[in-house]
Amino acid sequence: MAQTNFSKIDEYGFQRSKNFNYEVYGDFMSQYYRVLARRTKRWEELKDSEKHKKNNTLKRFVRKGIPISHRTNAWMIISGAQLLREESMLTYNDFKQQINNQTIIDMIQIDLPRTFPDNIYFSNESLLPSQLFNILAAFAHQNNDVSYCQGLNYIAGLLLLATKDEEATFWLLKVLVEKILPQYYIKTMSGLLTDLDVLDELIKIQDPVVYKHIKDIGMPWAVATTKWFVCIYAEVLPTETVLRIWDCLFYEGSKILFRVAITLIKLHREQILEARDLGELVVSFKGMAESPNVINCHKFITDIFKIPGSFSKKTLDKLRSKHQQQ
Amino acid sequence: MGANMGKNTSLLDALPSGQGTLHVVMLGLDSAGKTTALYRLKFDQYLNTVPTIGFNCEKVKGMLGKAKGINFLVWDVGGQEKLRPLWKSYTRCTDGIVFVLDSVDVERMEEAKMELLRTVKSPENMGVPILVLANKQDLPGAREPRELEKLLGLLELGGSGAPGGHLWHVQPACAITGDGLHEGLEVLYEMILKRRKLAKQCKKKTR
Repeated sequence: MAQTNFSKIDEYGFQRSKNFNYEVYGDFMSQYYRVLARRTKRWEELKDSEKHKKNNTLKRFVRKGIPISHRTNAWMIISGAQLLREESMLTYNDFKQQINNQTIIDMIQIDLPRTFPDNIYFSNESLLPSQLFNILAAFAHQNNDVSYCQGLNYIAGLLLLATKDEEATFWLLKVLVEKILPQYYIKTMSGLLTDLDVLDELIKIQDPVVYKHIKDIGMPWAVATTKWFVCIYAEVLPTETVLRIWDCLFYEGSKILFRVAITLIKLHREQILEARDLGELVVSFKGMAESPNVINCHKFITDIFKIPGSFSKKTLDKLRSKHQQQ
Repeated sequence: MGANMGKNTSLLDALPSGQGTLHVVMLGLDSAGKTTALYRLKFDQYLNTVPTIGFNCEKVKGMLGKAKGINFLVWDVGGQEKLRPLWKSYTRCTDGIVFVLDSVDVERMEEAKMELLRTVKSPENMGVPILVLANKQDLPGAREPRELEKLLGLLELGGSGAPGGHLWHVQPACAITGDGLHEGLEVLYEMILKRRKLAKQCKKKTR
């Protein structure tokens, strides 16, 4: 596939960055098209009984990537959003009817025109921005502990681009914020602060050299990784890579965030070790987003299950309770 | 700076002050124009910016007057109130503070005043010079620096003479076009130098 065949707009409507590496992307896509075609075929063949509840076949299928055409349904099932919807006393329309708090409305309105301004669906059309408003406002009104928190605009925005389904996006956002990442977006952000400390300890165990280098320079992890966790990599990594991460996140839960963080750091350890001061370190972390290792999302997802090694929920729970924020 | 920051080691705490590089942190309410100002200073062009989660950080070189050729490491920290519990991991010992203000948004002026006051009163920031960047001066209805000084209660800050007093300056600016930004950085640099001089004189006197 020649590089000139790629549009300056990606398949989700994002303008590719000026330094977008068409050559690396072209090499990757020439193989990835085949993967996508095969995955689509395999998903078509998957029996309904295997598609509709969690099982080892489905888990394997999810790790290999959910085809776009199956993504909304699959996400709804594996994340528990479907169940949440079925068990809810109120429908999405009911939640929308409750939007009336001007302070919340104003907060969301400030961010609406600033969410994905370089995406054609958000900058040229009014449908997605108005849908995004509904989702964020409906969510904020039914959850007082979270209300609206910056970062949710990117998550809901990307969910909307991936599903093109306003209602599904609402339920997916709800399950993410309330079940998969509880305590992340509440007033104290205690869950997030705990996880940043857990990551600190995990890096110390997994790569002491990099750990020491970063400590010596004096950069707190939060400086580099806050956005990773708050936005669950949206607005950080390439879109396709983020969606492949979300496939796994919806199935396997928040430990995926650590797998990704550790893998990112280990894959880019040379660049990190070359940085001599804080400024250079920040640049090296920013550069990860455009590295070939990350653009090749198919290999990257294989890496996240290989590079950090085994990673049980039990270990994670232990570390979390050790670093519990008061 | 934030309400939560008093007890904890805070904002620029963990950041080492590199040789010759001055650390500057940009604060202000969300949507005041902090990130736009940062990228104007850095790349001399207007970039369509998005809400900042966490922080942006860029090395910026002064262009005017005494500040010409001076290296600044400028931190731009996300402004939304909800995200402020995260500030404690970023901040400590900064050489200067740039407080970015939306000069048009009279409705949120009181909120901005409270935030500025909290920043100023925080023990970590004792005596750190403050540049108030009166942004969005190109828009109709933008308030003039004189009026903003009153609205923000800057005159009560005491100035350099009072103990814990702050040197401050209000710089009219437009982050989108870049007007006033380097002028502001120059004034901030002069205030940083002045503060150091005063500190030296103080030492001599006490001897």
